Amino acid sequence: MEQPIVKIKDLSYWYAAEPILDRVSLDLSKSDYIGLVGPNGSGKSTLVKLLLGLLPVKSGSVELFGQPVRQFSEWQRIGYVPQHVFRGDRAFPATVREVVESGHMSENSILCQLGLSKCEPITHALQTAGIEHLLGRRIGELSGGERQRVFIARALVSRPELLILDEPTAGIDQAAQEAFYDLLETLNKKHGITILLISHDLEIIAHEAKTAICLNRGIVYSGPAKALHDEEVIKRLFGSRVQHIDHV
Amino acid sequence: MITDFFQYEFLTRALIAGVLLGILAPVVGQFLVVRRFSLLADTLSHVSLLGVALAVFFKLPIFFGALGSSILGGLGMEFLRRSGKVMSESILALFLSGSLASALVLLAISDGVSINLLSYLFGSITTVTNTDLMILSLLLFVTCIFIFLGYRKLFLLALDEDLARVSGVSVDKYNVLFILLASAVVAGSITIVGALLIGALMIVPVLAAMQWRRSFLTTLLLSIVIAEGSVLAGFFVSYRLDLPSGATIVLFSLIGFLVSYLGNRKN
Repeated sequence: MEQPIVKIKDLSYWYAAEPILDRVSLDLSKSDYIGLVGPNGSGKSTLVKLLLGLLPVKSGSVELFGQPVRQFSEWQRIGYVPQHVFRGDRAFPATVREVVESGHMSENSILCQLGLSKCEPITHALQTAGIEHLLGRRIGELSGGERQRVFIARALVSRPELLILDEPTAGIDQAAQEAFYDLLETLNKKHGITILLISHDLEIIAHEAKTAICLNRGIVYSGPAKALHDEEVIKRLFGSRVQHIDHV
Repeated sequence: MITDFFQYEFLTRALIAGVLLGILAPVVGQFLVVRRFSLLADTLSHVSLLGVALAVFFKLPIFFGALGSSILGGLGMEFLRRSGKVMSESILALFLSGSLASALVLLAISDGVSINLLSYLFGSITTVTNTDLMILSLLLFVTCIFIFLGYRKLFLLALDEDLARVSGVSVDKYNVLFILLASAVVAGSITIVGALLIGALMIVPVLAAMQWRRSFLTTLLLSIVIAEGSVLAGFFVSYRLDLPSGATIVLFSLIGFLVSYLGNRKN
């Protein structure tokens, strides 16, 4: 049997005495498209931070590609798009090319930019993300949807096997969202990239992901994403006073 | 008049020091600006004044006093920032006022020791020694190597710390190394441009270059051009009109900012 890309076992986490995650276990395998959904404060972001080694594991274990997260060093195998990509100022002096090229950590970018060294190509990432026309633009001048695509392209330059996206379409208009999720579907189906999509929006996960994991400190549901429309699942996730209404 | 700068040794030394600072200050300054640490340079320079006072008190070389205190101060600020218990800008205010007050008290109780505090506040570019030049050259060499080898990691740190961590950058190590570098640059410059002005030379040319809305690398190169222009113009004008050289250099960099800002209003 093939080794899971991510293996989380009995993971618990707490801030002071406040429990945030309670004995969470889950596996991600190659070509999975998993949607992690839960209400605000359910522990989604904490789980992602633990998964990426941004927080120390207090109880339980997290393994990436068979290695404990603390010892993991092959970060080029993971592409990460944070919740608020580029929180910097509009005046931040960086072009799309520089941001995307920063996905290649091994090469010397000064020599590359000055044309004194052969650089790893970024064309495939730009094409896949559909942002070739933005190459010379400054990152601060782009719309939210365009920025998301730039950071997807940045995540893709190292040809990752796992892509983790934390609330990637927060604050982005509907048309840009649809184009963005079409891109994720292509990356999963055509390129075989495993995707972990984190969102508080049930409808997005139900519509886009193959498998859903509902988190509310512990895992309250794990199964086909389509079942997120089921009233019982919604009650387990948000409580009995919440009713499901479809997006118009 | 220009020939004076090559005829008199002290003027030649001052000119070389200015040219070295014109590269060093904006190169370190750009990473401070994009990480929103612009005031760090000012704070470090005030902390190094405390080092000057300590060096006077204990009769040690001024540079090593300034270097030791700015490194300790920089690491102290980084430690407090990481603890998350004090807001970042408050940390700067704490160290800035605390170190200046300590320096003044220390100098007041240093009986029999006379020190021209003004020369450390505003610098004295015309009294540059060969030792100063050696220190600046060494700092420039180390800075160039550090930026050259760590450019992409430093760029990523400026873009997003979490993204840098997930890309395998040792964020804490790079933060400490950068603080050490900034501290050394401030300590090496304080006797030349002074505690009150080194911050301006590190920050203003970068702000001017950013108005031209170019790439990160082009902005870095542009800021060096603007800083060098300000240093040379400041030197010649201050020499000709008998003005304080450090302040004149900073005024020229402000003119550079104004011209860049007005020239790019439509962008």
